[in-house]
Amino acid sequence: MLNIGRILSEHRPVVVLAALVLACAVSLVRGTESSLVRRGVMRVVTTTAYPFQKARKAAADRLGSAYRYVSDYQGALAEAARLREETAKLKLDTARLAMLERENARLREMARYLRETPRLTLEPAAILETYKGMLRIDRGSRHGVRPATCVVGPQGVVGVVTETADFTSTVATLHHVDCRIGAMVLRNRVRAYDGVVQANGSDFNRICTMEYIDMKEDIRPGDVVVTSPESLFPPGLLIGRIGAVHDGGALWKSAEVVPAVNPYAVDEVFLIRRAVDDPEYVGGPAGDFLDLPPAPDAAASRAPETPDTRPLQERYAP
Amino acid sequence: MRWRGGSIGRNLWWFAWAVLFALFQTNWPELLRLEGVMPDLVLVMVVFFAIHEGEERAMLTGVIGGLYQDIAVGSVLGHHVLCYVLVGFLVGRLSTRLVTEHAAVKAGFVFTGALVQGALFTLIQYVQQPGLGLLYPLGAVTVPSAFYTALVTPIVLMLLDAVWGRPERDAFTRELG
Repeated sequence: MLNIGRILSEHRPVVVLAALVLACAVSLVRGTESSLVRRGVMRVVTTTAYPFQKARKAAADRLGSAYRYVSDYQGALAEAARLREETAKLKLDTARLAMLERENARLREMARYLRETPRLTLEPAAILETYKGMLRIDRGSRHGVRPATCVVGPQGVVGVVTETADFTSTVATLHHVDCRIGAMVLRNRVRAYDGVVQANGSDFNRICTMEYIDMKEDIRPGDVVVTSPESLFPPGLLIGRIGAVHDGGALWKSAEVVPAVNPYAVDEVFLIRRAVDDPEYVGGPAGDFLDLPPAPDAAASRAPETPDTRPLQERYAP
Repeated sequence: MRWRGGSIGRNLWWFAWAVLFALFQTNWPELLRLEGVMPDLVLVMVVFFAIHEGEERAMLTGVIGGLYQDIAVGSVLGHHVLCYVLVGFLVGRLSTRLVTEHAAVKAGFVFTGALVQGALFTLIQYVQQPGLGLLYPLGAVTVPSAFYTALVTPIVLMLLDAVWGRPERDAFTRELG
């Protein structure tokens, strides 16, 4: 007797396989793409898959937002680093720009000075180093520089060349004790007894002095001091201003002169190669060429007049 | 994560994972695709159940995964199902005669199963649409996909081991009767 239930139970995997293969074969042969079976199966599958698809979408959204959060954070960090780098670069550029701007202003000032002083033949020189009131410039004997060459800047007198090498020269500025320049007060042409302004040679006290000024001379703080016709320099170049006047209590008094040029703050100077003395300066400049305010009381020297020792013929000659 | 409940819950857990694999396979192809080749995660699952629980569970897994893919890609019902069912049956039968604990054996099973499944799939497709050709899809899709599937097999099997455990081979048969 054939027991179908027992056979099915013993060979269940094969039976299942046969049933599935048969069903698949029927479906494939019939091509049930739009059949009732397909629609039913599709409905079952889509209904079953719906919660999974929702869960998948929610998980994808959460993961996506978490990833975006992390990636945006990393992006923000990278952006911040890039901006920091850009800021540093911009700061450097700004500093360089400011330096160029200052250099441009300085060169414009020097060009203006060159234009406005046609009586001087000037040669520009760059400062290589500065040390204790001495400057080293990039012009030497090969360039025709000799000791005692005058060095000026747009602001006034810088110093005088004391030593020359082949390609460099040393300039003693008004802060160095070796620098002595013939000077006078512009307002009344008063000179010291020795006729010079000299530095005190100290880096801590950059004030120059005019010693041995006659007690009767009218010297006031604020008076402009310029080079005198007797000096190495062309007359009328600005040296500085009277800072203070010290009464010695005897025959002489002295004055402190604040130099117009700070040698530690200049980058370029001019060497005076040739100068044409203007009679106006030799005879006494009016002072307006320096763009200075007129002195309130431009009185003449009140020093005692010396006796006129000229012979009569010369005195009364036409 | 591993299911420790009764037989009904265990079957529901299995069903959920079968649907999840089919979902993953059909909804996130861009996540799995590499140089235009996709692994067949459902096939790995079929092989896993064929090795660990026998051909019946493997065939039913193939039915679920295959049906879902048939619906998802709009092919004739039974196209994917037939391939998975046959592979599940064959691997289930073969695994009783081979040492299946080694990862290489499992990967070999998956590779062979993927080749068989791909060949069947292509053959059925060729019968339905001769214009698509037979050899080209085999060389361009089936073989690279089989390699890729074998490559990802250890990872998928580790995941399935973690969620399903290592059930004894005839547990499903005992559960059914």
